[in-house]
Amino acid sequence: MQRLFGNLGQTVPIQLEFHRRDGQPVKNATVKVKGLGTEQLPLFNNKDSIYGEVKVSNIPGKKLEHQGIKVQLLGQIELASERGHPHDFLALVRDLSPPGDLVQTEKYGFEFNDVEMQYDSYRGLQVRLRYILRVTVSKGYSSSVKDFPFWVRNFEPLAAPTNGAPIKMEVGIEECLHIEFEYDKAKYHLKDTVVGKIYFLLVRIKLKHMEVEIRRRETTGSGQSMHNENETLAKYEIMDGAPVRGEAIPIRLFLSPYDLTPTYKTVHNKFSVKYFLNLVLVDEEDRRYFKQQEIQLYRASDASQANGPHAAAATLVS
Amino acid sequence: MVEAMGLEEQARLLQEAGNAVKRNAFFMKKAMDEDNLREALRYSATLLGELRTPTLTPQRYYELYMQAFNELTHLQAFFREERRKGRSYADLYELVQHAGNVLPRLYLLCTVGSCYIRSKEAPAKSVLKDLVEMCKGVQHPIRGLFLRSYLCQVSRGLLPDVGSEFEGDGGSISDAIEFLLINFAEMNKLWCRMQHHASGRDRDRREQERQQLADLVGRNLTYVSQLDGLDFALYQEGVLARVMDQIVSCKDAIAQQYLMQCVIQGFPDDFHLGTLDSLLGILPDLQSGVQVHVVVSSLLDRLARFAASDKAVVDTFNQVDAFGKLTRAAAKVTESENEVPSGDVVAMHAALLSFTGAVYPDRLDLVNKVLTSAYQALEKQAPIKDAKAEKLLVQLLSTPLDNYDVVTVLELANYPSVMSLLRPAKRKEMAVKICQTILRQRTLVSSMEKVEMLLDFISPLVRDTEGLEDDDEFFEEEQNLLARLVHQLVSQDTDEHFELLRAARDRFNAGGPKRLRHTLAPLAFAALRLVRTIKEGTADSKKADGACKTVLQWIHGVAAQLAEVPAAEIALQLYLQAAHAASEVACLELIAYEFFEQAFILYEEAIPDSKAEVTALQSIVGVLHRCRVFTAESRDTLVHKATGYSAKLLKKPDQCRAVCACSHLFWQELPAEEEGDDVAEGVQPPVRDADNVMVCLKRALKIANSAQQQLAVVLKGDHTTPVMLFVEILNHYLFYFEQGNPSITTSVLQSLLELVANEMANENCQKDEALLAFYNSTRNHIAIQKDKGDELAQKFSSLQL
Repeated sequence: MQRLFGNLGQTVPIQLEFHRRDGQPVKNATVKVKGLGTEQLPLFNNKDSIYGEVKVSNIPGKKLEHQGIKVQLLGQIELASERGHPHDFLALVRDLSPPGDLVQTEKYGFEFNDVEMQYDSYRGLQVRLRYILRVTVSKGYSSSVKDFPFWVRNFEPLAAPTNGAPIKMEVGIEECLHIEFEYDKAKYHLKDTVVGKIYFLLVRIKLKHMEVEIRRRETTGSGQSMHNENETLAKYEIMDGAPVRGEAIPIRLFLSPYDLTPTYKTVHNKFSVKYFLNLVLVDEEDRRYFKQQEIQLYRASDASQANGPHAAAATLVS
Repeated sequence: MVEAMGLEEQARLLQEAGNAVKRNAFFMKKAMDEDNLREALRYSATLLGELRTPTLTPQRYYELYMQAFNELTHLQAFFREERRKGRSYADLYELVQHAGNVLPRLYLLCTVGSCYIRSKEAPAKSVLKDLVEMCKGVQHPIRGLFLRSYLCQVSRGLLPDVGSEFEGDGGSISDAIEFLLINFAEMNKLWCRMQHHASGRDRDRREQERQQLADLVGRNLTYVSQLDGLDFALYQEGVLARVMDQIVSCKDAIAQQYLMQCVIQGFPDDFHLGTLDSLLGILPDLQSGVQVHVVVSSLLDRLARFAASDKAVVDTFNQVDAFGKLTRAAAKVTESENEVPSGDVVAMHAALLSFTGAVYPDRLDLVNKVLTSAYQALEKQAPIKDAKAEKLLVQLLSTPLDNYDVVTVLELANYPSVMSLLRPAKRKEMAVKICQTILRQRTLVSSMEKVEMLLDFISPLVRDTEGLEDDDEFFEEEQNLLARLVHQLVSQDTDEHFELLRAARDRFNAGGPKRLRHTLAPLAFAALRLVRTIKEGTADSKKADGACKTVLQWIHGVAAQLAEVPAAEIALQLYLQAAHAASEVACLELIAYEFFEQAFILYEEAIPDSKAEVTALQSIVGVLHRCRVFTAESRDTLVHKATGYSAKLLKKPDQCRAVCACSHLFWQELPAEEEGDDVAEGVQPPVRDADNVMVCLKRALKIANSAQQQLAVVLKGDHTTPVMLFVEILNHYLFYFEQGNPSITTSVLQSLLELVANEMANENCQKDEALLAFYNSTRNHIAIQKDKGDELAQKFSSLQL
């Protein structure tokens, strides 16, 4: 890009550093990048104030003329179907410098106080929601623009155990297979453990194994243009072999290893993300029998997860 | 499911899987060295993934399992290392559960779990409970069995047993029991389920495979039995009831069979004694394929050994009525299912019998009860045709014979009825065995009841049995046994003894002539001995005479019957022996005479050929010679008759010899010195009729002479028999000479010696070695007599050789 437009104007090296008011280093979030492993991004919550310093460098001895320097805080939703035309649901701007000449490297502090960032950052298959700080050095037709993404996560307090009744359901194929399954809750936080049981009430088919899948469904648009995209994030085998009637198979699925997000409902009227537990039974002829059940995911605040390591001990059957 | 597959194919699959295990183990250990937990777990899960194979037979699978098992010990060490570095087991316990496949995940979970318990970071009971529950995720029989056996293995020593370091916060013994029993129940379910996966064709193979896996299931029970804190109350309430429940509800014959054995072998004797009701009560509920008798037998064996080890426990046996319960259980088993194979029923009773023998060695009534029960159980199936059952039944019947002496066995009223269940041939074998035992042990059967009983027991020998052909080959042998048995029927009391013999005869009568031929004679001889006993043992001579008379009369009857059998030769011998007894023991002349009379009649009428005649006549002469009871008159008659017979023999040599023998009828021995004057009443003085002796001997010479001439007529001059006769006659002469018979003077003897020497000079005689030897011995005898230097030597000295 730079090469392509290289002649149009001189690109300006722009740097940005996030700061915290208390001087502590800014927290980072580890975010998965498709096919590239992970990247580290500065992490903020809703209502956080975002402080920082923009450094615009100049080649010493050369004068850089500009029509002003500004930093924007943008919240964007970008659908795959509308690539390149993100929808800004949040746009704040701070002017860093009036038009003038840049003779040497200049540093500009900025701050956005108590920014309303109610939506989580999200990278899905056909939609992404992102927050960026965009620094623009305006120079007529060839402005220098640089984006600095950061990540936003919002937390909810830990749901009380009574919050969200267990999911219990009896399903089956007549005269063939009847099972009752039970997940202890309908609502889980992201480091939670799904505990449940499958009761086999009638088994007339030769099952080979059974697994629980975690599936994510992104929904974009609405009405006629509504589009769903499903993705299986996890396959977790919970049974090997053929059970007989009366058998009860335990489920204990740890959510933490998977790259999950909270459930999002109609984010800015643009998209939704839902999660499902899909129970799949496979018979000896590789026929699959499944039952999908939505679960609510939420992100519990770190403090509320403080039962931390011994939470695992609590997952022993009690 | 495992399809029928060649051995080679199996070996190849195992090889491949084993290589994969090795490969992944290598990477796992590498990751461990690099301290990379995540990678170590990943490779260990892949390694364990090899155990997901559906194709290996249990045996091959076991080999693979052992490989994986060894690698898992490295993992345990690694976990301990991780813990030392500060990672909590709770963390690890969660971490391994991230594995996507259930089987590797659970192996890892068990592995961490064992470390977790050992660290005491969590109560043992919670971890154990969790593990045993989570393992439900594997429902595949073989994979599940091995997984749970791994669980069982790694948790060994970590159970909150009494006295264990894991007791207390870690739980109590009941948690330990709970854990093992749940694992047991789950394993048993998996094990039984294998059965249903088999098609008919594969059933045999499948059952064989199941047998190979049995010990995995049983190990849980073994571990329960090894808990230090297991006392009787816990066992009864907490263990047995649940195990029994599992055994019944699984409805699987192989499992029931194995598990019953497991329980019986695994837990202590006194526990069994206290829970007999439960143990036995379950038997009727078992599947028809279960060999209940084996179960009962092993229980009985154990209890028997228990009783043998400590005599004090026999009281406990009595308190709980062990015998009654066991007998009823045995009966119930046979009743509840009509189709119990007879072999099983017999085997069970055999075990019951040896139990009774071991616990109550002196309770014959109980042995009898067992026999009753056996009879009732088998009655409907009689006769037992199944070869195995038959063999076992014979064994069953032999047990009392080995344990007790036969007389004791005779008190078992139900013994013959059990015997009657056997097919005739076997029944007879049994009878033979009884006889042999009596004879071997030299047991005396001395009461009427027992004799009757004994004869009941051995009735197949005593008389014909329906449906049984007598085998000629063995018939005589068998009858000989019976004959020998007669001599075991002995009572101290002579009257009773006589009654015993009479009773035996009554029974023997039913056996028909072919048996009587063998059995009557021993009876008669036993009676003869009885006569002697009576005479010697009874002070009152009149009473003795009366008793003897009765017995002799009876013998007379027996002999007469024997003559009619017909067995004239034996009967004749019998008459003679009886005559001798009547004469020499009882001193009853008339009776003795009567016996001789009968003997003579038989001689005249029933002796079939000349050879037999010779033998018979020799016997007659021999006996008559020794009888001293006859008055001159009756003796004359008898002697006359006997000499008459001797003249009527067909062959000259026979005649000659018989006449020689008859000479002795006129020359009885003087009574021995010690008898002295104390001669019994009725005994006549010895006959010493020198003239008649001489007459006989001369006649003998004459006959020998004519025999020689007779041979010359038919040109058989080279025959040496007449010379032999001469030498024999010479010997008779010498005998009388030594006896001091006045008719035999030195000159008479000298001339005979010369005559014989003459004959011996013959060329033919010199070739006949037997004759030469005989002659030389005779001459030597004379020479020796000469050298003796006593009175007789003087007489001999004038003889010239």
